Parts: sequence; C-alpha cells; structure tokens
Amino acid sequence: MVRCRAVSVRIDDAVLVDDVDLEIADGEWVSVIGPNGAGKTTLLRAIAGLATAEGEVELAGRSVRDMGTRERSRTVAVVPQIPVVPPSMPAVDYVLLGRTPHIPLFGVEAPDDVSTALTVLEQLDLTALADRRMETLSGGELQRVMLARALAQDAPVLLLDEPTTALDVGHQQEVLELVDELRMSRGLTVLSTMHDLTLAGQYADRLMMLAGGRVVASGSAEDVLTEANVARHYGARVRVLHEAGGIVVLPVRPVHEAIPR
Amino acid sequence: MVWAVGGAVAVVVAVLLGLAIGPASISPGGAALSVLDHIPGVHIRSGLSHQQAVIIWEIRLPRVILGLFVGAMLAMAGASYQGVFRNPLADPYLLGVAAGAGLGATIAIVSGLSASSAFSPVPLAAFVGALGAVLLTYTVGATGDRARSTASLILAGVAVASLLTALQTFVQQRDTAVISQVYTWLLGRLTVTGWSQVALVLPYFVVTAAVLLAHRRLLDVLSVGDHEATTLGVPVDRTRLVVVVAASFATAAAVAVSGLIAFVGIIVPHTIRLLGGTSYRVILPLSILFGGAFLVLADIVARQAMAPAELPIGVVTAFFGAPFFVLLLRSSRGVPAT
Repeated sequence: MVRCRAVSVRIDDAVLVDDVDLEIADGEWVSVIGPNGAGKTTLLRAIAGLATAEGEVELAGRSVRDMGTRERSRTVAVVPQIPVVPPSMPAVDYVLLGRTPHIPLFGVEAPDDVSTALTVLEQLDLTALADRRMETLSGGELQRVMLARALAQDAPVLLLDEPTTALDVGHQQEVLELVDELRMSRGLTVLSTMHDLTLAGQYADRLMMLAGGRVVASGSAEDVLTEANVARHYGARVRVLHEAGGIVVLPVRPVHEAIPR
Repeated sequence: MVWAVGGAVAVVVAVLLGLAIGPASISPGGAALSVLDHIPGVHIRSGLSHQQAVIIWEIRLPRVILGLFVGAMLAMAGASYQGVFRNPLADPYLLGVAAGAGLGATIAIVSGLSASSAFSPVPLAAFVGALGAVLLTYTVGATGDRARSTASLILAGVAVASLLTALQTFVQQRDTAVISQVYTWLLGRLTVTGWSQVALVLPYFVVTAAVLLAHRRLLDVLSVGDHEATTLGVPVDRTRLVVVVAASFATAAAVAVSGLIAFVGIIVPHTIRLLGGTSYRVILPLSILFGGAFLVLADIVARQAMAPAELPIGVVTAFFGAPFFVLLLRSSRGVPAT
C-alpha cells in the first residue's frame, strides 16, 4: 500500500509537485500521466525517498522518512527512466545488484541470492542473456534486465519511470504485459509514469493526471482520458476511441487552410 | 582465480629478483633460504656468508617489502578513487594529496630539521600535508546536492592542488639550496634504513586494505550511479566518505615514506580492468598484488639502471608504465570502464 498525503516537492522557489494526495491499494496498478515537466518523475522520486518532500509518504503503513535506506530498498524497487548502465558488467551480475538490500553491507551474495537472481532471469526469459555485457543489450533487452534487477529486490512496491519510452510498440506491449503478469503472480503494487496515453489507459487500474505539479484529474481511464482533459493540459488535439481492449487516444493533426504552393 | 594465482606468482618473482639483484651478487635461492631462516623455529643453512645474510635482511628485504606496501597502497587507492568517483582518470592524488604532501615535505626540508636530527620529520610532514589537503578539499568541495557532489569534489581538488603547489613553489624558491633535495623527494624513491619505515606503514596498509576490501561489492553497486545505488539500499554519501578517507590514508602513508611516485595508481587498476574484468572484487585484491609487484620491479630498475647512482623510481614507473599501458589500450577492444 502506498499513501501520499499533501506531498509537495520544492527546489529553490520552484514547486515541482504541489499538494498531491494518492492512495494505491495492495496489488493495484496506478499510472501517473501528464505533459513534460508536470512533476511525474519528481513524485516518483519523492515516493522512493530520493527527493525531499513535504507532507507524508507512507509505504506499507510506515513513513518513508522514518525508514533507513536499506529498509526502504526492501520495500520499494525503482526502475529509472534513464539507467546508468555499468559497461562490461554481465547482465546476471547487474540483476544480482538487486539483491543488495538483502546482503550484509560488507558481505557478498549467498547462494540464495544467486538462485533468486537466476530464477528472475528465467521468469523474464533472459537466461540466454545472462552472460551478455550490459552495453551490448538492445533497448528492449535492457528494459527487461532492469525489471529483473528490480524484481530481484523482492520489494512489494514497484515504481516504473517511463518504462516504455525507449521501446517500439511490440516491446512496449511485451514489457507492460510482463509487469501485469508479475503484479498478479507476486501481488506487487505498481506505480508507473507513462507518456503513451493509450498504453497508460489500457494497463493501469487507475490514472492520475498531473499538470504543473497538481493533480488535475484522477480515476478510471474513461474519466481521465477525455478529449477535453488532453486538450487542456497537453495542448494536444486528440480523438478518444473506446475499443474492446480499452481506450485509444489518437493524435489528430489540426486541419489548416490549404497553403497555396 | 587464474589472475589471483598470477598475482601471487608476480609478487614472489618480484620479491626474489628484488632480493637477488644488487651490487653484491647473491643467488635468488640463497636469498630466499636466508629469509626463511629468520622465521622463528626454522633453521636453514642458506649457504650465504654472514655479510650477505646481513645485506639481505637489513638492506634488501626491508626495501622490497616497503616497495610491496607502497605499490599496493597506491594501486588500491587509485582503484578505489576511480570507483567512488566513477572517473577513469582518478588517481590517488586526485584530491590534492600530492600537492599537500609536497608542501609538507618542502617545509620540513627547508626548515633544516631533517639534516640536524636523527629522526627525519619529512615523512611526518608529508603525511600531515597530504591528509590536510584532502580535508581541505572535502570541506570546500562537499555540497548538499548529491548530483553535483562528485564533480565539485574533483574541482575542489584541482583548486586545492594548485594553491598548495603555488605555496610549495614559493617556499622552495626562497631557499634555492634545497631545490635538488626537494626535487629528489618529489620524484619519489624507496630508500630505507632497516625496518623502521616498513614498521611505520604496516599498520596503515593493514587497516586501509581491510576497509577498502570490505567495500569491494559496494563499489560495484556504486557503478549504477548515486541515485540507483540509493534505491538499492546503499548509504552512498557515507560509503564514499569512508572509501575516500581509507584511500587517502593509504596514499598519505605511501607518500610519506616514498615521495610522489607517479602512474602506479592509474595504470595498475586499469591494466587489471582490461585483463581481468571490471568487478571491484577482482580489481581491488589484484591491484594490491600487482601494484606491489610492479613497484618492486620498478625499484630494481631504479637501483640498477645507472648504478651506483639511483634513478628516482617515479621516473621508472612512468617510463615503463606509459608505453606498456598504451600498447595494452591499443590491443584491447576499447577504453577500460570504471
């Protein structure tokens, strides 16, 4: 369970996140959407304890502020938007880094940690890539390996920052389906930020739209993804279609007067 | 594993050569037996004369052991700095250690104390100067902002180093009689009188090596950056501080007894990265072994190349280290990662 009450993040005079309330039940998936600079990533960082925030952030009933770095890392795993990829590191070692919260600070991993990492690799169909060096992975492979590292952390809460931005449409669906399966099988609570509104609506249980750091819409995909909301907060002209698999948000190019050539 | 054996072999070979080569010719086997004879409870006839045995035990062995410690400390400090700053150019002198030690040593030499008393104050002054410089760099360069902190520390190191070098030059120029003495010290050399310097650095070597080796896995975790390392449960700022303090003590102790020996802290860790992999679990222990062996071999060259005169060892490490490293870089697939 994730709970934010009146969370604000300020840097100098700029208010990046402004008085946000959010509750996510165990096993629920909420996606945060909003235009560039709306404060999505900052909110995620505040929940992960990476940004100093006003208000209260609770994870599993405990205030993030009261948790030590290690305890927090056993509660919440983060998949960053732009990871720092350690060159030359084999993928399996990268996934093993996810076991850090469970390994004594000055120790090395136990056989249990290795088997956990190998199990996660197998679950995500990555066993063949285990010995590949990180910098040789494709975008889709990298995203899955990062997910594997987060899962190796064995934390009940998973934060995903733009998990699909670097991927083609096939890999986008693949990764999100994977997250959904893992959420079901492991009972994970998922909070993601998303740029693609269609995918956001199709995969999350609920959406929260931010603009200028404030919550401007929140609820089901039908309630949040309206043509009016997208026009107002993204400044975009879209059509919203209701398909069997969920909502589809289609950008529509404004029609101009024909320019004489 | 292969490399660990290789490192141990390199150390043994370097030690045997270091014992055997010198103005008085002594066979490596005899030298080794003579050393073993000193182990309590062991009595071996080495076949060496009393004089030869004294040369081995009182002159060559202390110098070889000191070389092992100094090389090991510089190499592991360099590797640790590279890891903690995620910067392949980081070396043990990154935060101003060299300039601080140089200033301390110069002041001690100029003051004339080193000539008058039996106990030379130069190592102590260099040690204090080195740690003072790191402290100054940390005080000036540490910011609350984690995103900026490593860059601002490195820049603060540059500023502190220029300031202290300016002061050092000023002090040195005022007393031109000591320039050659200062210069000799700055270029680095291993000269020993019996076992006292070895005894001086031993505790620093043991403690700093233990601390840095304990951080070998954390240094690997830091390779994903401060933010991600934090989400993995690593107290990043504290870890960096502890590693920097330990590496700085190691460097200061090495500099105090040997002057400023260039290049060891950069080429040894990078050579290991190119050959043996990029995990600090490999890099740190192998830096200790190969760093020590490399410096002992360099010292043999320094002693022999222009005998009976001695070359500064810093000249030898750079002269052989630089081309070797360039060759290695060209033959490998790319720039080593940190």
